[in-house]
Amino acid sequence: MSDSLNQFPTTRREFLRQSAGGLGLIAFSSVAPAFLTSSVAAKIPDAEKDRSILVLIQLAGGNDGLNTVVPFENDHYYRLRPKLALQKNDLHVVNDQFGFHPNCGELANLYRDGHLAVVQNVGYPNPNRSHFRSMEIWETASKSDEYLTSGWMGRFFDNCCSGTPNDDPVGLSVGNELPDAFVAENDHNIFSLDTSQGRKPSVGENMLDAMQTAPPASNDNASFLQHTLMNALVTERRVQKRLRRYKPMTEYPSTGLARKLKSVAALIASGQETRVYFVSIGGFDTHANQLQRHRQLMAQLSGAMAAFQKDLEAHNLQDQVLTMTFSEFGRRPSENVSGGTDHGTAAPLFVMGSKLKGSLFGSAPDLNLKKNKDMTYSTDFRSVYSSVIKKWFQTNPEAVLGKAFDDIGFI
Amino acid sequence: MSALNESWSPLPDSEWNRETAKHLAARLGFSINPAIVNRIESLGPSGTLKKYFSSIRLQPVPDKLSGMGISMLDMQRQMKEASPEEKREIRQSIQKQNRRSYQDYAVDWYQFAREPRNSAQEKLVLFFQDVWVVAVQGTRSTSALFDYQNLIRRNLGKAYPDMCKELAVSAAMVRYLNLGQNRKGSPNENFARELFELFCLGEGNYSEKDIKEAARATTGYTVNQLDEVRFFKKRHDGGRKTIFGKSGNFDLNGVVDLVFQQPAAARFLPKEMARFYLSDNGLSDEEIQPLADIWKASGYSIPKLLVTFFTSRKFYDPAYRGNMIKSPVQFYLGMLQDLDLDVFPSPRRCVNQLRTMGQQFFNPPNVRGWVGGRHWINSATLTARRGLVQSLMYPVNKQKLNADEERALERAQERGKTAFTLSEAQINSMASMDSSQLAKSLSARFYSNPDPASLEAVLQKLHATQNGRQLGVSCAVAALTSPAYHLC
Repeated sequence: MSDSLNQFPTTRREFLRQSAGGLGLIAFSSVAPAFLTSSVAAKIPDAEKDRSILVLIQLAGGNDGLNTVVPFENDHYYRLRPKLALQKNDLHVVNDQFGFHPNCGELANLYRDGHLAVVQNVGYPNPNRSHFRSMEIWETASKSDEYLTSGWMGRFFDNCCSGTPNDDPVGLSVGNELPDAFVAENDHNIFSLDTSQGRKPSVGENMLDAMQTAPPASNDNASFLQHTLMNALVTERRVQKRLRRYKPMTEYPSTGLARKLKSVAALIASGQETRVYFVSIGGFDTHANQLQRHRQLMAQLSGAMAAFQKDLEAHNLQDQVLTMTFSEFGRRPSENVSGGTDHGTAAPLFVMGSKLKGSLFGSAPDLNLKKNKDMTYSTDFRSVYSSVIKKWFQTNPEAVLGKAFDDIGFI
Repeated sequence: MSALNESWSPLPDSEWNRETAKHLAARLGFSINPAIVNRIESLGPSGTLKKYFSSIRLQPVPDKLSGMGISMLDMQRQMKEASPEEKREIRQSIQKQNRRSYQDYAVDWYQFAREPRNSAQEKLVLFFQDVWVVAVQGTRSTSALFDYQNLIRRNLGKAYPDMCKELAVSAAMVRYLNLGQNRKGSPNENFARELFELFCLGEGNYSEKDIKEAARATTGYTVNQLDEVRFFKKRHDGGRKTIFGKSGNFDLNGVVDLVFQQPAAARFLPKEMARFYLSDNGLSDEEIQPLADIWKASGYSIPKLLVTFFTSRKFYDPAYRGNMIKSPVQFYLGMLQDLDLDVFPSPRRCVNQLRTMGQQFFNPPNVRGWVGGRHWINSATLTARRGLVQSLMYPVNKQKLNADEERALERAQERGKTAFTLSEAQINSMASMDSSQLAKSLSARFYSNPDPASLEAVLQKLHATQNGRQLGVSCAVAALTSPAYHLC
């Protein structure tokens, strides 16, 4: 690693080591990051290496659940989808009711090994079919007619995690957008990973280096901004370093989702104290010519998730990590005339991890529907969240979700 | 005393220059784009106020809201003969229309406010929305919110007490502060309390008894599903009340009139204005009193308050320049104007980005409105601000759009809105300048408080490691995520 990348210390220890080299002055500047300005006597707690971690994979656009987990014994499925229905022979059949999409072989194997669970027919009452609004409902865990200003993970942070600005981020999103799910009432170290620069130092890292020589701020607010920004940039520098040092122990496919999950594996393996990671993959809004596009998406999802799980196992981290997929809605059981499907309601979601108690949860959707009618959910998505918060994070779900929901029992 | 009076007297012509014009542009509107500053500089302070406030422009009705009244009426009619099951379905369908139209409305508003000729007016509307708070949560009707905003606009040229009387009995407010549940014999004090505390007087300027009596006086209103507000004499408590020491058979308008006889009323709105437009710290009673006197003498005329405020020596005091933290709306719309970009017509982009930055459309955290100032900034909101900047650097990937977004994009393009992200020419020009020249140019163009040295230090580092398009993008990101860019 070139020296320029290591100019600015990101931990107190590095600072002490380097301060002989002239960096000492920074400690007295108004822009010094929190770990330098906070009391030297403050005790820094040891990192807890065995914390439970959640990885959320957002399937943006509305994944077609019926063609992901396929009910090949259901005549209604074939009636409603004369062109799009997948045939039993092509599926990875896992029981007498359903099989995984032909490109989801890895997920089927994980299912057979008990490391992947399917929660069937997940949704909520009075479903909304707008992408934006339904995603907001999922991310804020609100009722269909309720507008919440914070996300469900944000409220989890409010309840479980407090720390100083220079601790590791509690929530990290891979990609530039900050997910709604992370919006909290209180101030937490939330971070999104700048993936636009590839392996080069990010703009933020360059800014951090440049800020060492920054002139003092011209007013209080400017100084406050410099200080807050520097805290964020120190986090970024630390995260980027960990990413560069990582050696995966399995080969990841060369897809966008796989690259993102590899970054997550790297940060988990580095011992970073982040509790929740958020990655997103788009393109699921398959209104037309669905078969081909969905094939690619399923291959990407299956390959990336399996590689990620394998990598965690190789690092012996599988017991610490739970991975869960979600999408804003499923798609209409009836296919449309363009070889696609329109916005629907409920869909299955996947939970992956080594500590699952069972493989199949919830009940399958009733497909005895008239043309163009939607399925009725049987498992509320908030009971999935509730189970994760209660069993995985050992936190009171009522504090996060406002009321109690049934435990699904997958953990 | 004379020094204080002096501070609200007009800025002498001799002090009107590029810097003072820039300050007015940044605070009155959203951006210091040279084209905007040029216009303001040539108009002068009072000319600028006249230009932006002499006529009111109403926001056109968003697509999904137009015709909604009629379909609501239909549904209402059906409702009368519907079975309980059908009633539930109709109610759900009304809710659904409300939600969809809310997003549509939000996108349209950003587009409307982004037009430089509307910006000063819309920022002022935002200010009044932050005093007379209503929220989507608790109002349950998009058309009521839309009407509420237009009601604010229609009242901008009037006296504040008149605006108060109209906003009080708007559908949005009657729902939001439970005025509909406030009836003779079972008063609900929600509205009366906020009228005193948050809209007109401020804490400490009324007693609990004043609130109780005012709640009685404001009884009698209802709002129905069609957003029609009605007054029913039967529900109104017409009896004698004593408020602020005066007794009479007061009604809602009577209460508002009493409020504006209180000395605190003359100071309240000017102080709120100072906090919104001048400084997070606000101004003291002593500082604000001369302005309060001028305003009261004008019969609480809103235009008089605006002109006095924005042309005053106080407003242009160097101590108030370039040091306010931009609200998310200011950051977002200002950046689009700074870069000559259009609002990307998808809720996922604009509505969502504003929300993660901490200022969702018509949805403040509570009736107090947004706290603002440093509360806008933390690691999550800085992350969201950077995400917004990054999203403007790369052409829209049509593959990743969903069908609604594709349609919205096409519609916007038909209206001539095509610049959603930085052009290759803009990026290349940044990549081709040397760092010192570029730092000077960007700093002068983007920062209220230019800081070329700090920016140059970053740009130099970027020049040393990057080239081509990536260098151009990185320079733009660095300039737009620097501390200086969050101030106005």
